[in-house]
Amino acid sequence: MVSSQTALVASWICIVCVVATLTYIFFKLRNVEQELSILKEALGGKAIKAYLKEIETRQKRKIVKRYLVMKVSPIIKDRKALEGILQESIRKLYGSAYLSLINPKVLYFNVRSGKAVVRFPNEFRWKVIASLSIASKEAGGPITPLRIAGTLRKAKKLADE
Amino acid sequence: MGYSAIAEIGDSSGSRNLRTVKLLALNEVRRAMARDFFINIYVISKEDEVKVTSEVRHADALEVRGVMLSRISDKALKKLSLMRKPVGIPMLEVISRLTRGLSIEGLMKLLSYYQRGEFEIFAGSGATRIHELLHPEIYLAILADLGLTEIHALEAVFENPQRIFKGGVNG
Repeated sequence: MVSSQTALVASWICIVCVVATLTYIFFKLRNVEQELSILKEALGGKAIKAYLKEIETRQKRKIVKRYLVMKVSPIIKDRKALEGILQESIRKLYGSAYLSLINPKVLYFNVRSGKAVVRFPNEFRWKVIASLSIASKEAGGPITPLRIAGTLRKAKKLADE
Repeated sequence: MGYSAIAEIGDSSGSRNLRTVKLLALNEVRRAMARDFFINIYVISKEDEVKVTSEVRHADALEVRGVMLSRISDKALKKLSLMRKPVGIPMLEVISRLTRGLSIEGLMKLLSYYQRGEFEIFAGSGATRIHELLHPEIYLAILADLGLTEIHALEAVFENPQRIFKGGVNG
């Protein structure tokens, strides 16, 4: 008789414990859900969306190089001299920060045809061409952009024509 | 790469603001020289010169230079758009302003109005000597770098000057 009563009490205690635990878990989950919704709202903001998108694109972005074929004035006879003039003109127009980002390199210089090939990142294409206005002044003769090629081989071919 | 060159050939009426300009497309030089085309450009270098006068009415296009490139009020811009004439920009002056570190706030406003379609813009060299002329691709690059879309920049450098020359703007 006594043992059956204790068993009943024990079972009741067990049930109460289970109910209490479930209620605790329920409220805890609700809190978490609320917190999650707040976080979700915050992440839905324009600024954060743009930031996340930028991070995604930054991971995907690949530096694409291009090769500019240009006709150089006959006064310039050296590859290094042309590179110096280009760097100076970019620094003058856009500053040192952009110069280090653009980092123009004269890869090929054909003295006979007076054409040269310059390598630079594609995103700064307009900046490089715009800086030729200053470069022409500094070189003392016109520096004319002819064509932009995707590969050095093609650019060299154009320069030799 | 075909392009047009605008060459100034002197005043037509002796007026300070009115200049006669000859525009020569490279493939049309002979024809143009034979028929002696010319267009009148009214030069605006101060804000109080933005007025609808008889000179402006007779001009084929306007040109903004000097202080107007660094500072221009919204009122003057509205007046310019009401004149319904294409507005020219001397690119060599823009380049010299950029290298000297002078403000080009007025030019930026002009470009934004052009982008919105309030008026047409054409890029002129502004050169007074032949050796000052630069390749039009350079002007295109400068305009694109200043924030114009490639299409608008292409129109401003290649299409609009030719259209003005052929009388497409004023009919």
